[in-house]
Amino acid sequence: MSDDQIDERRRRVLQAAAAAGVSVTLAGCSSGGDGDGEGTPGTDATDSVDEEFAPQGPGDRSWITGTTSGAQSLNPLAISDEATNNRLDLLYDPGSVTIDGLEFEGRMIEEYEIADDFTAATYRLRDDLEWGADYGQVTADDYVSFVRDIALGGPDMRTGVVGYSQTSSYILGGEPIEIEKLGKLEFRVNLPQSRGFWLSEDPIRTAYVLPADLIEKYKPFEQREVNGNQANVITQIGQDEAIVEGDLSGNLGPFNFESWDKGQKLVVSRNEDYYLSGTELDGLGAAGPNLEEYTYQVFDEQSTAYSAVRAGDITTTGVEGRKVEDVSQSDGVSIFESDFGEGTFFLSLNHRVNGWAPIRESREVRQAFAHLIDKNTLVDQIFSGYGDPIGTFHEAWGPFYPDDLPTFETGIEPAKEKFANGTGSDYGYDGDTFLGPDGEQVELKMVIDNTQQTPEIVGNYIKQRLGEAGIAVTIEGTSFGKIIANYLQNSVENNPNYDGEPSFQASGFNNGAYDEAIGKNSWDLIYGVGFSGNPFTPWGTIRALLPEQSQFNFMGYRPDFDVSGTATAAATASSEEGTRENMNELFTFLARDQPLTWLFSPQATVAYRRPVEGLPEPDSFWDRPDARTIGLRTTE
Amino acid sequence: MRWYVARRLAWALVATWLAVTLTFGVLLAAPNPGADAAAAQCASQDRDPEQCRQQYLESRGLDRPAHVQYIDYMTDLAALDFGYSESQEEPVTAAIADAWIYSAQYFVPSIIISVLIGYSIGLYSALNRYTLTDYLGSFVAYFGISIPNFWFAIVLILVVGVYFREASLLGVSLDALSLRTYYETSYGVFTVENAKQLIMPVIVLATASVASQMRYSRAQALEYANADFVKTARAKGASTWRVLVAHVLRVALVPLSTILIVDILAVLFAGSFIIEAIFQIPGLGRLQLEAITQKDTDLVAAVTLIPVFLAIVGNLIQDLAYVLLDPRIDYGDR
Repeated sequence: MSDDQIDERRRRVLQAAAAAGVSVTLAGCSSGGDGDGEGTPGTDATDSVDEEFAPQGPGDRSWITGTTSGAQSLNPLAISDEATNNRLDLLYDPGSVTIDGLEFEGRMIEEYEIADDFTAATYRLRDDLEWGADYGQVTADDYVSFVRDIALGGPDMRTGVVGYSQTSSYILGGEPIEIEKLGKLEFRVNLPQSRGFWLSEDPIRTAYVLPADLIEKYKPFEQREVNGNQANVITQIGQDEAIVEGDLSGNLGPFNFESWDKGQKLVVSRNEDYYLSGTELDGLGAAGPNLEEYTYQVFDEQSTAYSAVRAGDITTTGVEGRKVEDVSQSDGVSIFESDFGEGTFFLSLNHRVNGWAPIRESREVRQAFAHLIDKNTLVDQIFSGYGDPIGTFHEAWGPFYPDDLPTFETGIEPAKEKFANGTGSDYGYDGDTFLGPDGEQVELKMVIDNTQQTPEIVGNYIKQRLGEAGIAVTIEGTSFGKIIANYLQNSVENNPNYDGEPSFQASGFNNGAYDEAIGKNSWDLIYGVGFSGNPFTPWGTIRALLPEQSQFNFMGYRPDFDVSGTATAAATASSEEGTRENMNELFTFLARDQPLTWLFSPQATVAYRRPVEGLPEPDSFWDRPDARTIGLRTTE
Repeated sequence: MRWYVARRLAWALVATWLAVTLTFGVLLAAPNPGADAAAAQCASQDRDPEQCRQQYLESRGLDRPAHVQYIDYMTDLAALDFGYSESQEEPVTAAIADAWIYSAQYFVPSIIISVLIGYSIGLYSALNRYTLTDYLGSFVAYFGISIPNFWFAIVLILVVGVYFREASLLGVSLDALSLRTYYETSYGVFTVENAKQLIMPVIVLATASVASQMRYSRAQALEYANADFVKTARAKGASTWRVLVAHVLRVALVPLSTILIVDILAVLFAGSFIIEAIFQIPGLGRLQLEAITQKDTDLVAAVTLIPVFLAIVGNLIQDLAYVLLDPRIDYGDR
């Protein structure tokens, strides 16, 4: 859980109403909807407000969120990390937010409608949105300019301007979306292919746009000097006074920028002009913000953040599962627990030629790893039970998780049997030792990110289990950056046995086929690399990671199943049922084939000071306190 | 004497140049995470990662030959232009100017405390060997040296910051004794709140330093504990403290001052990385750590200069102080 479990997740939601092809009016500014049963202030999702509670520290008097990751920038165009995204959420509202898997709540976009054939969507903005820094009213021109000039502003309209990282969301099936202005507050997006789940994938709904006039100031886009260096337009805009001073937010966000000390803290104060102030929102009552001031405080050392929340010096911080018991010892702390955590953890297996050959050659060998690892033990040891085992590339609670996945009985004997059967006659057991073709014990190299405790625990556990199955393991600990540079990124130049051109070059992480491009160093297993399964739109991550020529297939996996086609079929299906069928087939295949050893998904655990009001009932993925900031309050 | 000082100053320049050159070389040889990040971002956008890496290096002049970069850098340095910090997004001088005050706030008290307490316990221990107070002093010394700073800091935060806030002793709440768990930057430098939140960092940092000063001073004082002039002073009826301060300390100060500068710099600077990370103090230690991890060349080189400068100037001052401490020392003929 990172900065920690906050809500990029709102980007990835399944919208069944849209899939059914109906016109959707976002609940936004009206009451109604049935968002009840969640978000009721003061309910017992955690301890309810205690009238007797005496504030102990500044975290009980004003809102201070402790986080271990600092924002890299406050430039809305340069978001590449959740920490930055979370900070900007305080200053600018997105188009809309998701309040559960089936329901959106309007913010800047008041309503939109998707065409019956799912090839176009029409959007209408609210009429009371004002930029700061004298940029006037927010209009359709701003959205059109943002999409055309920034998101798709590259020379061929298929790429964004240099430095903008979200362009891929605006390209569907290799073709860019088209945007056109319909009126002062209305615009339409034409999709290059039918997308039944567009509302859940839609990047415009969650993008932080800029005033068209501000973008205009930087045309023509070219490298210019910023602080002594040649800089692209994204950096240039990031240095615009309106952005640096936080003036741009106008009435668009619940808070006004006060100060930012990079790497230390961000302070914002209540925006009295916030366009939603006082509006009745589903599940929240009258929108706040109820907090006079909101501070993001960075902690280099997580244990200090835990102590700070226990002492009342901060209001909240994310807590690792295994630390929940320690942190909750303090009387003033309550723990928000939700089954709906984000992230899938797996053991990466090397299918390339600088890895152990049986991994790529034998499904049985890959399944042997699944037999070997007791996922429940890992969940207990690492997350103190705050997690769930997974059998495929999907969060255990995810909407597409199949009911009847292939399972692999945990045990040493079944694993040994599959290791023996899957490796051929050159290999075999001599007593309890698994011998390779050279007559020596098989020894695998496992690389872990040793800057964190979790990979060390997992690494040692897997080493122990493989040892029990007769296979020796050498663990190499290194930083995440070095794992990327020395193991994941690959090239034909690292392969002394290949001197031709690669048959394809998908990216630095997949610079050729399994027998062409390899990493600088050899490896067999890696723990420390993870992806969100993107539970509501899992097809995107799957297409990026698993097909042979996908961007992030660093493993060199070659599925004997049309992973890409099935994922695309799921994404472009015209009904929820169609999507579900395709995803079920795909996830079942991944469970059986075990290209990676699927391990577990974490639950969400966040520590709060006990008097905090407004925490939602954790009934869905979207019931996160930090996604409902405008409804939260402290005692004073 | 003047000639000696001039030569020492010249040597200071050479030493500084060597340190900066070494730092520059190490950074030049290290991989560039900024370029790696640019390449990875491009890869994720279907762009050629190598082209992006090259663009990144070009925009920062890092594609030029090493000797050109070096000459350029040293020229700027000579003109006191320390460059621009990529990680802090501000000029290097501004980043250092923002940070040093936070370090100084706990650094200076730690030095003063470690010298005063360390010398006091050391001298007293020397003249009261094999007594309970000597054993106690030795315990303090070995405790301070043995205990890891990071562990001590975390435990201190837990005890004083967390447990004191909720616990009571004999029915009396310990809340009044509790301290903030992390450093709050909004307090003024000369405020009570600020002084209180600096107590724990100062204690942690001083503990290790006190210990080493105490051990050195005890060892030095032991050399003189049975010297004739000490016996004479005692015979004349001088009190223990007078013997310690006026007679033993005076002669022990020359060797003690020799090790003082290096020892304090080593203990305090090494400790500052940990102290600042754990207490979240935005000082030079964290600045340097961030600069190194993000390979912010300009900032790393500039921050490296600070301990180098302090060590060189400190050693010079210490040599000059010898003359005052021991009139027999004279640099007139050197």
